[in-house]
Amino acid sequence: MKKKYTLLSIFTVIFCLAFSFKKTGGPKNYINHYQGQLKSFKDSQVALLTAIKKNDLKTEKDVKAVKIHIDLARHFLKGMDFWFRYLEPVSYKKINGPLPAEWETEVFEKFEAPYKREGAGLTLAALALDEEQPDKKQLIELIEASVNAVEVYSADSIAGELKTKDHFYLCNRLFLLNLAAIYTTGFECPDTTRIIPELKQMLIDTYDIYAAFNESFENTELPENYLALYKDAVAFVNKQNNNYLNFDHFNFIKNYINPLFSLNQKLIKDYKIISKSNIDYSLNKNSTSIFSKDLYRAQNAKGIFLRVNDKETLAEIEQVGKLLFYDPLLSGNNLRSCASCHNPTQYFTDTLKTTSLQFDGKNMLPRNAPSLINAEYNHLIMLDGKHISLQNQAKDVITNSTEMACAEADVLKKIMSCNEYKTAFKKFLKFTPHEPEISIDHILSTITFYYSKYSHFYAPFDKAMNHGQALTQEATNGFNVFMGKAQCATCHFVPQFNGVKPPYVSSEFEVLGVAKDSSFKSLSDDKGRFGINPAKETEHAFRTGSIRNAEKTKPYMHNGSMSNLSQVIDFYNAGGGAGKGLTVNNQTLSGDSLHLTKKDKSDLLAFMSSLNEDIQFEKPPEKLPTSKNKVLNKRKVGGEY
Amino acid sequence: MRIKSIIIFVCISILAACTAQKELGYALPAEMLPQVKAEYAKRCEQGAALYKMSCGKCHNIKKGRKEIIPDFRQDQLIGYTLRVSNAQHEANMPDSLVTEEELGIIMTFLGYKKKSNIPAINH
Repeated sequence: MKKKYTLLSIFTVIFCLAFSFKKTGGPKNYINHYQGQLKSFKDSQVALLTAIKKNDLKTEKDVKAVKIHIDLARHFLKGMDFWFRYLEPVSYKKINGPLPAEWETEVFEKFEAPYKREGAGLTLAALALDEEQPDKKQLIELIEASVNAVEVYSADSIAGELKTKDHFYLCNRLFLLNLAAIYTTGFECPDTTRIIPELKQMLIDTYDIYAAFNESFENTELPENYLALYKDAVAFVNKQNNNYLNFDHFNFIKNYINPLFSLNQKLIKDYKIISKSNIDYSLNKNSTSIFSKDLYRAQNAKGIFLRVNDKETLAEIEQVGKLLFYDPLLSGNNLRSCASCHNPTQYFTDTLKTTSLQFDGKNMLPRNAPSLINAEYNHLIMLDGKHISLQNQAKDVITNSTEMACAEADVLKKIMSCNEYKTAFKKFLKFTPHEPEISIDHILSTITFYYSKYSHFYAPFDKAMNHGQALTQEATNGFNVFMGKAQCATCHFVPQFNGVKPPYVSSEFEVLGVAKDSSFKSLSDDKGRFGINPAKETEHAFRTGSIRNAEKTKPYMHNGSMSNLSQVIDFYNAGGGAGKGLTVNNQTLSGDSLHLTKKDKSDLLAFMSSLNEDIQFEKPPEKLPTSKNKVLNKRKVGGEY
Repeated sequence: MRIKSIIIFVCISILAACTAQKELGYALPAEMLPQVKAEYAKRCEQGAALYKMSCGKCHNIKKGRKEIIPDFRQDQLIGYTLRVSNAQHEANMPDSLVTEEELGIIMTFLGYKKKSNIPAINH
């Protein structure tokens, strides 16, 4: 009861302060509205900085006084989120970054080395304030960095953007995607009691932005049907309990956010909206649903055959790719094929082995073979993000001495010794004038094109979102637990449930503290991302995988050390490696228990089952092309081990 | 049999002559090591083919029957930002039609190709 009163008084103070900062009345026009909101946010930042500076942070009361100012600054920030995140995403990390340091490789810069981005601002300040002995100097630094970063939003270039209709619809697209993927999950919101109140406020503030835009841009306004649905969304959220554990994520996304996204996509096309930002690099203007597999593009599965659109030729390329996928000619001893570890009838992984056999046929590889299904929705490939393209990954496995151990030149020679392959590739050459001779790239591209077709199927969950198909109550509850209490969605983002979050331009890595084996005696000694990009943050970090088809793709984790999904849920419920008592210096997962009930767990399993895609698998080829070299004709479809 | 081999020989010589001539078409720095030069020339060849498929239609300048590739300024050859630096690129040149890697190769070609003395205009 006492807690309730304290909370109530905090909200009252916030609202009073909020109105005292708000100098402009209703939104007169769009740019004035932006500037007014920006000024309010800047003022609240300065007030926060002053509050920290004149405070000793010794007593609980001191800490609370600062906390109120953080919440207030967050309140104004959320009102600007619509613009801030789109217009200057790098500066946003200084204002409300989720982590002190992140290593990034964004899609448009993936040929360059990963770069470090340091975070600062409100989320990190709230976390610092939560410490037993808050460090005043650190708090001041975090907010000073944020005060400096916000200046960029007053720049002329941004004022120029605000004069166009274009940025508005692109801001709105990102806003809607974030409503589906992060705003409701507690990502960047360490105080979980604030998640839903902040969401409510943000939706109202964004409505003001819409109104201001429509006043200033009459010819390209948000139409009545959009605004009506948006108002319904606001009403739906306002009816929801402020406790984030009870939020109905499923209906929020299905009935409001996804249909709004679809309307906004249509407006982007109708108004011929043009992007000037790399943030839109991966997003597809023609996609009509967040749960459509063409929402964003991360990989070029066609490879060198990018420009081939003729259905017949594509079918031929796919057919050659299928043969090659099963053909042990790609290995040094002609005994192994891609299918040896990525078994097409087992969801393109090996569900029977913890980790796959090495080339020598005796030792095991250090990592579990991941499913190739949905691999194309990652920007970086392999669990350590070693490769930027599917084709490079395939080449690495073929030539790697511990996997398939075949030199590039030998692969070509052996394949060209088969008439069927030779004729096909000669035919394909006319589509690749930039690569006039048959090369390893032609071979790799047929393979990636073949297996990627299995990434284009949908799961019952998608069908519920897209077409209103019924979903069991358990699965619906499970989705809500996934998005809320279990915190899964703060790393496995909607809609692929992998580590790619809006605007879907990079892949994320996490440190979970996975143990060597099920005894949980010691941390796995695999350093993961560290091997590619050594830094203290990347030690034991692995690229976040997708939850899709999880039920069908056991075992789990980079080393396959967990054999069923219940073990995986228990691991997260305990707080990962740190929660299980291991020493993990840089774990990115909270070490606290999630307090999941038995029902939460079974609902989570039901939700994951609803992500099993209805994939139409095919039988393996009956025979492989005949080679001129008779010895090679002894080879078996799929290899021998 | 003999005729066949003669034909093949002639074809190879023509082909070789063509490649040799084409290599002269790139203004590669004189101090470049021969093997580096060969790599660059190969990349330029690739770039030329990609340019023809993805850029030529809009950028080439027609003079009679000939199509001339204009000279792009260094500040126009900016890789992936090209995609968003002009409205037509944003609409017609998504990653699904020209990849970032291919853009890099096209930039190499345009940077080293022989001058046509017709400046490219932004459009």
